[in-house]
Amino acid sequence: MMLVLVATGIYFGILRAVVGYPQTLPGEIVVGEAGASAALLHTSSRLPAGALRALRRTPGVGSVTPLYGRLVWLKVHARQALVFLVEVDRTAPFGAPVAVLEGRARPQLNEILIDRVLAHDLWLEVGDELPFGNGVLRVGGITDGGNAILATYAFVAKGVLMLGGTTSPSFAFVHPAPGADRDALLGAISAQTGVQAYRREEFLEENRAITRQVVLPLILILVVLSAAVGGSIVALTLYASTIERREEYGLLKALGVPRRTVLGVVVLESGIATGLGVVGGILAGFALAHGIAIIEPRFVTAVPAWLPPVLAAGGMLVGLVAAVSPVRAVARIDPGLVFRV
Amino acid sequence: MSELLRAVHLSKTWAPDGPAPVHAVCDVSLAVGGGETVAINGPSGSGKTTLLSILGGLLRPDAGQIWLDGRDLAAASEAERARIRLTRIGFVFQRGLLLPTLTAHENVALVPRVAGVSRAEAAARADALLEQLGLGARAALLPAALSAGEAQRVALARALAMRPGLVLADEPTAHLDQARGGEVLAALKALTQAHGAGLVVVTHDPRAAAVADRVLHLTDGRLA
Repeated sequence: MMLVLVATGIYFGILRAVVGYPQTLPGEIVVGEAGASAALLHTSSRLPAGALRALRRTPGVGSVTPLYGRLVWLKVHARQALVFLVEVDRTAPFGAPVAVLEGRARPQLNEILIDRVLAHDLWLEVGDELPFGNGVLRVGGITDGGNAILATYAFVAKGVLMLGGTTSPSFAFVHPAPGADRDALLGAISAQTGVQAYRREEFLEENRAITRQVVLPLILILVVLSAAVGGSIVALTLYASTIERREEYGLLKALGVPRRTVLGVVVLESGIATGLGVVGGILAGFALAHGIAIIEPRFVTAVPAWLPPVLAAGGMLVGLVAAVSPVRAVARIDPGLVFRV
Repeated sequence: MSELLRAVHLSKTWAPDGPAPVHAVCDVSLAVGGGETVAINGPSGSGKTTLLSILGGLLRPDAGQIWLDGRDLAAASEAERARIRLTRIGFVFQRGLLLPTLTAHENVALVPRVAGVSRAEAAARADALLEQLGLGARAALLPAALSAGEAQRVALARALAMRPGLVLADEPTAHLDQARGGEVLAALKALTQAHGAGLVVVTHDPRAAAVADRVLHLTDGRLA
Protein backbone atom coordinates (compact mmCIF):
# COMPACT_ATOMS: atom_id res chain seq x y z
CA MET A 1 0.00 0.00 0.00
CA MET A 2 2.78 2.35 0.99
CA LEU A 3 4.85 1.56 -2.09
CA VAL A 4 1.88 1.84 -4.42
CA LEU A 5 0.94 5.22 -2.98
CA VAL A 6 4.49 6.55 -3.21
CA ALA A 7 5.08 5.16 -6.70
CA THR A 8 1.78 6.45 -8.01
CA GLY A 9 2.30 9.76 -6.24
CA ILE A 10 5.73 10.09 -7.84
CA TYR A 11 4.24 9.29 -11.24
CA PHE A 12 1.64 12.02 -10.92
CA GLY A 13 4.27 14.30 -9.45
CA ILE A 14 6.46 13.72 -12.50
CA LEU A 15 3.53 14.27 -14.85
CA ARG A 16 2.79 17.56 -13.13
CA ALA A 17 6.41 18.59 -12.94
CA VAL A 18 7.19 18.03 -16.62
CA VAL A 19 4.55 20.54 -17.64
CA GLY A 20 4.98 22.84 -14.65
CA TYR A 21 7.00 25.31 -16.68
CA PRO A 22 5.63 24.70 -20.22
CA GLN A 23 2.07 25.37 -19.10
CA THR A 24 3.04 28.87 -17.95
CA LEU A 25 3.97 29.77 -21.53
CA PRO A 26 0.96 31.55 -23.03
CA GLY A 27 -0.28 30.87 -26.54
CA GLU A 28 -3.11 28.81 -27.94
CA ILE A 29 -0.98 27.44 -30.76
CA VAL A 30 2.62 26.33 -30.36
CA VAL A 31 4.79 26.19 -33.45
CA GLY A 32 7.94 24.10 -33.65
CA GLU A 33 10.26 22.77 -36.31
CA ALA A 34 8.63 20.13 -38.51
CA GLY A 35 9.79 16.66 -37.50
CA ALA A 36 11.22 17.77 -34.15
CA SER A 37 9.71 16.91 -30.82
CA ALA A 38 7.53 19.43 -29.07
CA ALA A 39 8.78 18.25 -25.70
CA LEU A 40 11.09 21.00 -24.46
CA LEU A 41 13.45 18.66 -22.63
CA HIS A 42 14.39 16.51 -25.57
CA THR A 43 13.81 18.69 -28.54
CA SER A 44 16.08 19.75 -31.34
CA SER A 45 13.47 22.15 -32.65
CA ARG A 46 14.83 25.23 -34.44
CA LEU A 47 12.39 27.28 -36.45
CA PRO A 48 13.61 27.87 -40.00
CA ALA A 49 14.82 31.33 -40.98
CA GLY A 50 11.90 33.55 -41.86
CA ALA A 51 9.39 31.39 -40.01
CA LEU A 52 8.58 34.10 -37.47
CA ARG A 53 7.96 36.66 -40.21
CA ALA A 54 5.75 34.20 -42.09
CA LEU A 55 3.79 33.45 -38.94
CA ARG A 56 3.15 37.11 -38.21
CA ARG A 57 1.85 37.58 -41.77
CA THR A 58 -0.53 34.64 -41.58
CA PRO A 59 -4.14 35.84 -41.62
CA GLY A 60 -5.81 35.27 -38.25
CA VAL A 61 -2.61 35.52 -36.21
CA GLY A 62 -2.90 37.99 -33.34
CA SER A 63 0.53 37.79 -31.77
CA VAL A 64 3.65 35.65 -32.04
CA THR A 65 6.15 35.28 -29.21
CA PRO A 66 9.36 33.32 -29.81
CA LEU A 67 10.98 31.10 -27.21
CA TYR A 68 14.75 30.87 -27.47
CA GLY A 69 15.96 27.81 -25.67
CA ARG A 70 18.66 25.19 -25.76
CA LEU A 71 19.48 21.96 -23.96
CA VAL A 72 22.92 22.11 -22.32
CA TRP A 73 24.93 20.14 -19.79
CA LEU A 74 26.11 22.27 -16.90
CA LYS A 75 29.15 20.96 -15.02
CA VAL A 76 30.43 22.20 -11.67
CA HIS A 77 31.86 20.66 -8.50
CA ALA A 78 32.56 17.50 -10.55
CA ARG A 79 28.82 17.08 -11.02
CA GLN A 80 26.73 17.66 -14.07
CA ALA A 81 23.10 18.20 -14.93
CA LEU A 82 20.96 18.55 -18.01
CA VAL A 83 19.35 21.97 -18.27
CA PHE A 84 17.01 23.61 -20.74
CA LEU A 85 18.24 27.15 -20.90
CA VAL A 86 15.61 29.73 -21.70
CA GLU A 87 16.31 33.27 -22.72
CA VAL A 88 14.25 35.76 -20.77
CA ASP A 89 13.77 39.35 -21.82
CA ARG A 90 14.58 41.64 -18.91
CA THR A 91 11.54 43.74 -19.66
CA ALA A 92 8.96 41.31 -21.03
CA PRO A 93 7.59 38.60 -18.73
CA PHE A 94 7.35 35.85 -21.40
CA GLY A 95 9.30 32.72 -20.51
CA ALA A 96 10.06 33.87 -16.98
CA PRO A 97 10.46 31.35 -14.13
CA VAL A 98 7.30 30.01 -12.48
CA ALA A 99 8.44 31.39 -9.13
CA VAL A 100 11.55 32.93 -7.64
CA LEU A 101 12.64 31.73 -4.23
CA GLU A 102 15.75 33.79 -3.81
CA GLY A 103 17.70 36.45 -5.67
CA ARG A 104 16.73 38.16 -8.87
CA ALA A 105 13.53 37.51 -10.88
CA ARG A 106 15.15 38.49 -14.22
CA PRO A 107 18.72 37.51 -15.05
CA GLN A 108 21.40 40.07 -15.84
CA LEU A 109 23.57 39.45 -18.88
CA ASN A 110 26.16 37.41 -16.97
CA GLU A 111 23.71 35.64 -14.72
CA ILE A 112 21.73 32.44 -14.64
CA LEU A 113 18.65 31.70 -12.59
CA ILE A 114 18.54 28.05 -11.60
CA ASP A 115 15.85 25.81 -10.17
CA ARG A 116 16.16 24.78 -6.53
CA VAL A 117 16.57 21.14 -7.64
CA LEU A 118 19.55 22.07 -9.79
CA ALA A 119 20.94 24.13 -6.92
CA HIS A 120 20.59 21.03 -4.73
CA ASP A 121 22.16 18.73 -7.35
CA LEU A 122 25.13 20.96 -8.15
CA TRP A 123 25.54 22.42 -4.65
CA LEU A 124 25.02 25.96 -5.88
CA GLU A 125 23.86 29.09 -4.11
CA VAL A 126 23.13 32.62 -5.20
CA GLY A 127 26.45 34.28 -6.02
CA ASP A 128 28.22 31.06 -7.05
CA GLU A 129 29.70 30.86 -10.51
CA LEU A 130 29.50 28.05 -13.00
CA PRO A 131 31.30 27.54 -16.28
CA PHE A 132 29.32 28.15 -19.45
CA GLY A 133 30.92 28.11 -22.88
CA ASN A 134 34.15 30.00 -22.65
CA GLY A 135 33.07 32.03 -19.68
CA VAL A 136 31.17 31.78 -16.44
CA LEU A 137 27.66 32.61 -15.35
CA ARG A 138 26.90 33.83 -11.86
CA VAL A 139 23.87 32.35 -10.09
CA GLY A 140 21.58 35.34 -9.83
CA GLY A 141 18.56 33.61 -8.33
CA ILE A 142 16.99 30.34 -7.25
CA THR A 143 13.66 29.52 -8.84
CA ASP A 144 10.91 27.02 -8.26
CA GLY A 145 8.58 25.11 -10.61
CA GLY A 146 11.28 24.37 -13.16
CA ASN A 147 12.04 20.83 -12.06
CA ALA A 148 11.19 18.38 -14.81
CA ILE A 149 12.87 15.34 -13.20
CA LEU A 150 15.35 14.44 -15.96
CA ALA A 151 16.34 18.06 -16.41
CA THR A 152 15.50 21.47 -15.05
CA TYR A 153 14.75 24.82 -16.59
CA ALA A 154 17.25 27.64 -16.11
CA PHE A 155 17.06 31.19 -17.29
CA VAL A 156 19.55 33.49 -18.87
CA ALA A 157 19.34 37.00 -20.24
CA LYS A 158 18.41 37.66 -23.83
CA GLY A 159 21.48 37.40 -26.04
CA VAL A 160 23.37 34.82 -23.99
CA LEU A 161 22.30 31.94 -26.19
CA MET A 162 22.87 33.99 -29.31
CA LEU A 163 26.47 34.44 -28.20
CA GLY A 164 26.62 30.67 -28.00
CA GLY A 165 25.33 30.29 -31.54
CA THR A 166 21.60 29.86 -30.97
CA THR A 167 20.06 32.33 -33.36
CA SER A 168 16.76 30.63 -34.17
CA PRO A 169 13.90 30.31 -31.73
CA SER A 170 12.96 26.82 -30.66
CA PHE A 171 9.26 27.51 -30.64
CA ALA A 172 6.82 30.27 -31.31
CA PHE A 173 3.69 30.79 -29.22
CA VAL A 174 0.79 32.14 -31.22
CA HIS A 175 -2.38 33.88 -30.08
CA PRO A 176 -5.10 33.97 -32.73
CA ALA A 177 -6.54 37.35 -33.55
CA PRO A 178 -9.94 38.08 -32.01
CA GLY A 179 -12.61 36.19 -33.93
CA ALA A 180 -10.12 33.97 -35.74
CA ASP A 181 -10.87 30.25 -35.90
CA ARG A 182 -8.12 28.39 -34.08
CA ASP A 183 -8.39 25.17 -36.03
CA ALA A 184 -8.36 26.97 -39.36
CA LEU A 185 -5.32 28.91 -38.21
CA LEU A 186 -3.65 25.70 -37.06
CA GLY A 187 -4.12 24.26 -40.53
CA ALA A 188 -2.81 27.38 -42.21
CA ILE A 189 0.35 27.41 -40.06
CA SER A 190 1.01 23.69 -40.49
CA ALA A 191 0.86 24.21 -44.26
CA GLN A 192 3.87 26.52 -44.04
CA THR A 193 7.26 25.07 -44.91
CA GLY A 194 9.43 23.58 -42.18
CA VAL A 195 7.09 24.09 -39.24
CA GLN A 196 4.56 22.09 -37.31
CA ALA A 197 1.73 23.59 -35.27
CA TYR A 198 0.26 22.11 -32.10
CA ARG A 199 -2.79 23.01 -30.13
CA ARG A 200 -1.79 24.04 -26.63
CA GLU A 201 -3.17 20.77 -25.18
CA GLU A 202 -1.19 18.75 -27.71
CA PHE A 203 1.98 20.65 -26.83
CA LEU A 204 1.51 19.90 -23.11
CA GLU A 205 0.67 16.27 -23.86
CA GLU A 206 3.85 15.96 -25.96
CA ASN A 207 5.75 17.12 -22.90
CA ARG A 208 4.04 14.47 -20.79
CA ALA A 209 4.35 11.69 -23.37
CA ILE A 210 7.86 10.54 -22.52
CA THR A 211 6.89 10.24 -18.89
CA ARG A 212 3.84 8.21 -19.76
CA GLN A 213 5.84 5.97 -22.09
CA VAL A 214 8.78 5.34 -19.77
CA VAL A 215 7.54 5.79 -16.23
CA LEU A 216 3.98 4.50 -16.42
CA PRO A 217 4.94 0.89 -17.30
CA LEU A 218 7.41 0.86 -14.42
CA ILE A 219 4.75 2.17 -12.08
CA LEU A 220 2.28 -0.42 -13.31
CA ILE A 221 4.81 -3.20 -12.76
CA LEU A 222 5.45 -1.87 -9.27
CA VAL A 223 1.73 -1.65 -8.53
CA VAL A 224 1.10 -5.21 -9.74
CA LEU A 225 4.10 -6.56 -7.83
CA SER A 226 3.09 -4.66 -4.69
CA ALA A 227 -0.47 -5.94 -4.95
CA ALA A 228 0.76 -9.51 -5.48
CA VAL A 229 3.34 -9.40 -2.69
CA GLY A 230 1.09 -7.42 -0.36
CA GLY A 231 -1.87 -9.66 -1.11
CA SER A 232 0.21 -12.78 -0.46
CA ILE A 233 1.49 -11.36 2.82
CA VAL A 234 -2.04 -10.42 3.88
CA ALA A 235 -3.34 -13.86 2.86
CA LEU A 236 -0.56 -15.69 4.71
CA THR A 237 -0.96 -13.50 7.78
CA LEU A 238 -4.71 -14.01 7.88
CA TYR A 239 -4.32 -17.73 7.27
CA ALA A 240 -1.65 -18.10 9.96
CA SER A 241 -3.75 -16.09 12.38
CA THR A 242 -6.78 -18.24 11.63
CA ILE A 243 -4.90 -21.50 12.04
CA GLU A 244 -3.43 -20.22 15.30
CA ARG A 245 -6.96 -19.58 16.53
CA ARG A 246 -8.67 -22.65 15.12
CA GLU A 247 -9.31 -23.84 18.67
CA GLU A 248 -11.38 -20.69 19.32
CA TYR A 249 -13.35 -21.08 16.11
CA GLY A 250 -13.87 -24.76 16.92
CA LEU A 251 -15.13 -23.74 20.35
CA LEU A 252 -17.63 -21.31 18.86
CA LYS A 253 -18.88 -24.01 16.52
CA ALA A 254 -19.10 -26.53 19.37
CA LEU A 255 -21.10 -24.12 21.49
CA GLY A 256 -23.59 -23.89 18.66
CA VAL A 257 -22.72 -20.50 17.25
CA PRO A 258 -24.14 -20.66 13.70
CA ARG A 259 -21.64 -21.41 10.97
CA ARG A 260 -22.58 -18.18 9.18
CA THR A 261 -21.83 -16.18 12.33
CA VAL A 262 -18.46 -17.87 12.81
CA LEU A 263 -17.48 -17.23 9.20
CA GLY A 264 -18.75 -13.67 9.57
CA VAL A 265 -16.39 -13.23 12.52
CA VAL A 266 -13.48 -14.40 10.36
CA VAL A 267 -14.44 -12.01 7.55
CA LEU A 268 -14.94 -9.16 10.01
CA GLU A 269 -11.60 -9.78 11.68
CA SER A 270 -9.93 -10.04 8.29
CA GLY A 271 -11.61 -6.80 7.27
CA ILE A 272 -10.48 -5.01 10.41
CA ALA A 273 -6.91 -6.31 10.03
CA THR A 274 -6.85 -5.34 6.36
CA GLY A 275 -8.46 -1.96 7.09
CA LEU A 276 -5.85 -1.17 9.72
CA GLY A 277 -3.14 -2.26 7.28
CA VAL A 278 -4.63 -0.09 4.54
CA VAL A 279 -4.87 3.00 6.76
CA GLY A 280 -1.38 2.38 8.15
CA GLY A 281 0.00 1.81 4.66
CA ILE A 282 -1.55 5.00 3.30
CA LEU A 283 -0.30 7.08 6.23
CA ALA A 284 3.14 5.49 5.92
CA GLY A 285 3.03 6.25 2.18
CA PHE A 286 2.37 9.93 2.82
CA ALA A 287 5.17 10.00 5.38
CA LEU A 288 7.56 8.26 2.97
CA ALA A 289 6.61 10.63 0.15
CA HIS A 290 7.31 13.58 2.45
CA GLY A 291 10.66 12.06 3.43
CA ILE A 292 11.63 11.44 -0.20
CA ALA A 293 10.84 15.06 -1.08
CA ILE A 294 13.19 16.19 1.68
CA ILE A 295 16.02 13.85 0.75
CA GLU A 296 15.62 14.18 -3.02
CA PRO A 297 13.67 17.32 -4.01
CA ARG A 298 13.58 16.14 -7.63
CA PHE A 299 11.01 13.48 -6.78
CA VAL A 300 8.02 15.53 -5.86
CA THR A 301 4.93 13.48 -5.25
CA ALA A 302 1.46 14.58 -6.19
CA VAL A 303 -1.16 12.31 -4.68
CA PRO A 304 -4.49 12.96 -6.40
CA ALA A 305 -7.50 13.17 -4.08
CA TRP A 306 -8.99 10.05 -5.66
CA LEU A 307 -5.89 7.91 -5.06
CA PRO A 308 -6.21 7.13 -1.29
CA PRO A 309 -9.86 6.00 -1.59
CA VAL A 310 -9.03 3.93 -4.67
CA LEU A 311 -6.04 2.37 -2.89
CA ALA A 312 -8.18 1.75 0.19
CA ALA A 313 -10.84 0.06 -1.94
CA GLY A 314 -8.19 -1.97 -3.77
CA GLY A 315 -6.54 -2.95 -0.50
CA MET A 316 -9.85 -4.02 0.99
CA LEU A 317 -10.57 -6.05 -2.13
CA VAL A 318 -7.20 -7.77 -1.84
CA GLY A 319 -7.97 -8.39 1.85
CA LEU A 320 -11.34 -9.84 0.94
CA VAL A 321 -9.78 -12.19 -1.58
CA ALA A 322 -7.08 -13.06 0.94
CA ALA A 323 -9.78 -13.89 3.49
CA VAL A 324 -11.18 -16.65 1.28
CA SER A 325 -8.51 -19.09 2.34
CA PRO A 326 -8.96 -18.60 6.12
CA VAL A 327 -12.73 -18.66 5.74
CA ARG A 328 -12.50 -22.01 3.98
CA ALA A 329 -10.11 -23.25 6.66
CA VAL A 330 -12.55 -22.24 9.40
CA ALA A 331 -15.47 -23.77 7.53
CA ARG A 332 -13.61 -27.07 7.60
CA ILE A 333 -12.85 -26.98 11.34
CA ASP A 334 -14.49 -29.88 13.12
CA PRO A 335 -16.28 -28.65 16.26
CA GLY A 336 -15.38 -31.96 17.88
CA LEU A 337 -11.86 -30.54 18.00
CA VAL A 338 -12.75 -29.07 21.39
CA PHE A 339 -12.72 -32.52 22.94
CA ARG A 340 -9.23 -33.20 21.66
CA VAL A 341 -7.41 -30.12 23.00
CA MET B 1 -37.58 -37.77 37.16
CA SER B 2 -38.64 -37.07 33.59
CA GLU B 3 -36.54 -38.49 30.79
CA LEU B 4 -34.52 -35.81 29.03
CA LEU B 5 -32.18 -37.66 26.72
CA ARG B 6 -32.52 -41.07 25.19
CA ALA B 7 -29.84 -42.61 23.02
CA VAL B 8 -30.73 -45.81 21.22
CA HIS B 9 -28.29 -48.28 19.64
CA LEU B 10 -25.60 -45.72 18.87
CA SER B 11 -22.64 -46.88 16.81
CA LYS B 12 -19.69 -45.06 15.35
CA THR B 13 -16.73 -46.52 13.49
CA TRP B 14 -13.68 -44.53 12.51
CA ALA B 15 -12.10 -45.30 9.13
CA PRO B 16 -14.72 -47.96 8.36
CA ASP B 17 -13.25 -48.63 4.92
CA GLY B 18 -9.62 -48.56 6.08
CA PRO B 19 -7.42 -51.51 6.84
CA ALA B 20 -8.06 -51.19 10.56
CA PRO B 21 -11.50 -49.75 11.34
CA VAL B 22 -11.95 -48.54 14.91
CA HIS B 23 -15.32 -49.27 16.48
CA ALA B 24 -15.37 -46.32 18.87
CA VAL B 25 -19.00 -46.70 19.96
CA CYS B 26 -20.84 -50.01 19.60
CA ASP B 27 -24.56 -50.29 20.10
CA VAL B 28 -24.75 -47.94 23.06
CA SER B 29 -28.12 -47.09 24.55
CA LEU B 30 -28.66 -44.86 27.55
CA ALA B 31 -31.13 -42.42 29.03
CA VAL B 32 -30.63 -39.38 31.23
CA GLY B 33 -33.34 -37.75 33.30
CA GLY B 34 -33.73 -34.09 34.25
CA GLY B 35 -31.65 -33.33 37.36
CA GLU B 36 -29.83 -36.66 37.06
CA THR B 37 -26.05 -36.96 37.07
CA VAL B 38 -24.53 -39.78 35.03
CA ALA B 39 -20.80 -40.47 35.13
CA ILE B 40 -19.19 -42.38 32.30
CA ASN B 41 -15.75 -43.75 32.94
CA GLY B 42 -13.46 -46.08 31.15
CA PRO B 43 -9.88 -46.43 30.02
CA SER B 44 -8.30 -44.19 27.42
CA GLY B 45 -9.45 -45.10 23.93
CA SER B 46 -12.64 -46.69 25.19
CA GLY B 47 -14.79 -44.29 23.15
CA LYS B 48 -15.87 -41.90 25.93
CA THR B 49 -15.10 -38.73 23.96
CA THR B 50 -16.71 -40.08 20.80
CA LEU B 51 -19.83 -40.95 22.76
CA LEU B 52 -19.92 -37.49 24.32
CA SER B 53 -19.50 -35.89 20.89
CA ILE B 54 -22.43 -37.88 19.58
CA LEU B 55 -24.61 -37.08 22.59
CA GLY B 56 -23.77 -33.39 22.16
CA GLY B 57 -24.65 -33.33 18.47
CA LEU B 58 -21.07 -32.61 17.45
CA LEU B 59 -20.78 -35.90 15.65
CA ARG B 60 -23.34 -37.86 13.71
CA PRO B 61 -23.48 -41.58 14.60
CA ASP B 62 -23.28 -44.22 11.89
CA ALA B 63 -26.36 -45.82 13.39
CA GLY B 64 -28.83 -45.15 16.17
CA GLN B 65 -30.92 -42.27 17.41
CA ILE B 66 -30.50 -39.58 20.07
CA TRP B 67 -33.72 -38.07 21.30
CA LEU B 68 -33.50 -34.74 23.10
CA ASP B 69 -36.67 -32.77 23.80
CA GLY B 70 -38.48 -35.02 21.37
CA ARG B 71 -36.08 -34.34 18.47
CA ASP B 72 -33.68 -36.85 16.93
CA LEU B 73 -30.25 -35.24 16.97
CA ALA B 74 -28.83 -37.93 14.71
CA ALA B 75 -31.26 -37.03 11.95
CA ALA B 76 -31.07 -33.26 12.38
CA SER B 77 -29.25 -31.03 9.90
CA GLU B 78 -26.00 -29.37 10.86
CA ALA B 79 -27.76 -26.04 11.37
CA GLU B 80 -30.44 -27.68 13.55
CA ARG B 81 -27.83 -29.46 15.65
CA ALA B 82 -25.96 -26.16 16.10
CA ARG B 83 -29.20 -24.51 17.23
CA ILE B 84 -29.88 -27.34 19.70
CA ARG B 85 -26.31 -27.12 21.07
CA LEU B 86 -26.69 -23.39 21.45
CA THR B 87 -29.99 -23.47 23.29
CA ARG B 88 -30.39 -26.87 24.95
CA ILE B 89 -26.94 -28.29 25.67
CA GLY B 90 -24.20 -26.87 27.88
CA PHE B 91 -20.60 -28.00 27.44
CA VAL B 92 -17.75 -28.09 29.93
CA PHE B 93 -14.39 -29.03 28.43
CA GLN B 94 -11.18 -30.32 29.98
CA ARG B 95 -9.33 -27.01 30.07
CA GLY B 96 -12.26 -24.63 30.30
CA LEU B 97 -11.66 -23.36 26.79
CA LEU B 98 -12.59 -19.74 27.22
CA LEU B 99 -12.19 -17.16 24.49
CA PRO B 100 -8.97 -15.40 25.49
CA THR B 101 -9.92 -11.93 24.30
CA LEU B 102 -13.19 -11.80 26.23
CA THR B 103 -13.52 -11.24 29.96
CA ALA B 104 -15.00 -13.92 32.19
CA HIS B 105 -18.32 -12.06 32.15
CA GLU B 106 -18.29 -11.70 28.37
CA ASN B 107 -17.45 -15.38 27.93
CA VAL B 108 -20.52 -16.30 29.96
CA ALA B 109 -22.81 -13.78 28.28
CA LEU B 110 -21.64 -14.70 24.77
CA VAL B 111 -23.80 -17.77 24.24
CA PRO B 112 -27.11 -16.16 25.29
CA ARG B 113 -26.26 -13.10 23.20
CA VAL B 114 -25.67 -15.26 20.12
CA ALA B 115 -28.91 -17.12 20.88
CA GLY B 116 -30.81 -13.85 20.74
CA VAL B 117 -31.20 -13.09 24.45
CA SER B 118 -31.17 -9.36 25.13
CA ARG B 119 -27.93 -7.75 26.22
CA ALA B 120 -29.35 -6.84 29.65
CA GLU B 121 -30.76 -10.32 30.26
CA ALA B 122 -27.53 -12.01 29.13
CA ALA B 123 -25.52 -9.75 31.42
CA ALA B 124 -27.86 -10.45 34.33
CA ARG B 125 -27.53 -14.21 33.81
CA ALA B 126 -23.75 -13.94 33.67
CA ASP B 127 -23.68 -11.81 36.82
CA ALA B 128 -25.88 -14.25 38.71
CA LEU B 129 -23.98 -17.37 37.65
CA LEU B 130 -20.56 -15.91 38.33
CA GLU B 131 -21.79 -14.73 41.72
CA GLN B 132 -23.12 -18.21 42.55
CA LEU B 133 -19.76 -19.67 41.62
CA GLY B 134 -17.87 -17.17 43.77
CA LEU B 135 -16.41 -15.34 40.81
CA GLY B 136 -18.27 -12.04 41.10
CA ALA B 137 -15.06 -10.17 41.80
CA ARG B 138 -13.25 -11.86 38.91
CA ALA B 139 -15.86 -11.15 36.24
CA ALA B 140 -13.94 -8.37 34.53
CA LEU B 141 -10.73 -10.38 34.18
CA LEU B 142 -9.46 -11.98 31.02
CA PRO B 143 -9.00 -15.77 31.12
CA ALA B 144 -5.23 -15.36 31.25
CA ALA B 145 -5.63 -13.72 34.68
CA LEU B 146 -7.73 -16.57 36.06
CA SER B 147 -6.47 -19.70 37.76
CA ALA B 148 -7.27 -23.07 36.16
CA GLY B 149 -10.01 -23.68 38.73
CA GLU B 150 -11.54 -20.25 38.18
CA ALA B 151 -11.44 -20.72 34.41
CA GLN B 152 -13.22 -24.04 34.76
CA ARG B 153 -15.92 -22.45 36.93
CA VAL B 154 -16.37 -19.70 34.33
CA ALA B 155 -16.77 -22.45 31.73
CA LEU B 156 -19.38 -24.03 33.98
CA ALA B 157 -21.22 -20.69 34.19
CA ARG B 158 -21.10 -20.45 30.41
CA ALA B 159 -22.53 -23.96 30.08
CA LEU B 160 -25.50 -22.97 32.22
CA ALA B 161 -26.08 -19.49 30.82
CA MET B 162 -28.76 -20.69 28.38
CA ARG B 163 -30.42 -22.77 31.13
CA PRO B 164 -29.92 -25.93 29.07
CA GLY B 165 -31.69 -29.20 29.63
CA LEU B 166 -28.48 -31.16 29.35
CA VAL B 167 -24.91 -30.45 30.43
CA LEU B 168 -22.07 -32.54 29.00
CA ALA B 169 -18.73 -32.39 30.80
CA ASP B 170 -15.54 -33.89 29.43
CA GLU B 171 -12.95 -34.58 32.13
CA PRO B 172 -13.79 -31.31 33.91
CA THR B 173 -11.29 -31.96 36.70
CA ALA B 174 -8.44 -33.32 34.59
CA HIS B 175 -6.26 -30.23 34.95
CA LEU B 176 -7.18 -29.31 38.51
CA ASP B 177 -5.65 -30.26 41.82
CA GLN B 178 -7.60 -32.27 44.36
CA ALA B 179 -9.16 -29.33 46.15
CA ARG B 180 -10.10 -27.34 43.01
CA GLY B 181 -11.34 -30.48 41.28
CA GLY B 182 -13.61 -31.23 44.19
CA GLU B 183 -14.99 -27.69 44.17
CA VAL B 184 -15.72 -27.82 40.45
CA LEU B 185 -17.47 -31.19 40.69
CA ALA B 186 -19.56 -30.02 43.60
CA ALA B 187 -20.51 -26.81 41.77
CA LEU B 188 -21.26 -28.75 38.60
CA LYS B 189 -23.59 -31.11 40.41
CA ALA B 190 -25.26 -28.42 42.50
CA LEU B 191 -25.92 -25.97 39.69
CA THR B 192 -27.16 -28.49 37.16
CA GLN B 193 -29.53 -29.90 39.73
CA ALA B 194 -30.66 -26.42 40.68
CA HIS B 195 -31.44 -25.77 37.03
CA GLY B 196 -33.12 -29.15 36.64
CA ALA B 197 -30.65 -30.12 33.95
CA GLY B 198 -29.31 -33.58 33.27
CA LEU B 199 -25.56 -33.95 33.63
CA VAL B 200 -23.30 -36.41 31.84
CA VAL B 201 -19.71 -36.41 33.05
CA VAL B 202 -16.99 -38.30 31.24
CA THR B 203 -14.17 -38.69 33.71
CA HIS B 204 -11.40 -40.74 35.23
CA ASP B 205 -11.88 -38.94 38.52
CA PRO B 206 -13.20 -41.37 41.16
CA ARG B 207 -14.80 -38.44 43.00
CA ALA B 208 -17.15 -37.99 40.04
CA ALA B 209 -18.55 -41.40 40.80
CA ALA B 210 -19.26 -40.23 44.30
CA VAL B 211 -21.44 -37.35 43.13
CA ALA B 212 -23.10 -39.26 40.26
CA ASP B 213 -26.51 -40.85 40.48
CA ARG B 214 -25.33 -43.55 38.07
CA VAL B 215 -21.92 -44.63 36.89
CA LEU B 216 -21.55 -46.28 33.47
CA HIS B 217 -18.38 -48.05 32.34
CA LEU B 218 -17.38 -47.91 28.73
CA THR B 219 -14.96 -50.48 27.40
CA ASP B 220 -14.08 -50.84 23.73
CA GLY B 221 -17.06 -48.69 22.83
CA ARG B 222 -19.57 -50.77 24.77
CA LEU B 223 -21.34 -49.88 27.98
CA ALA B 224 -20.87 -52.37 30.70
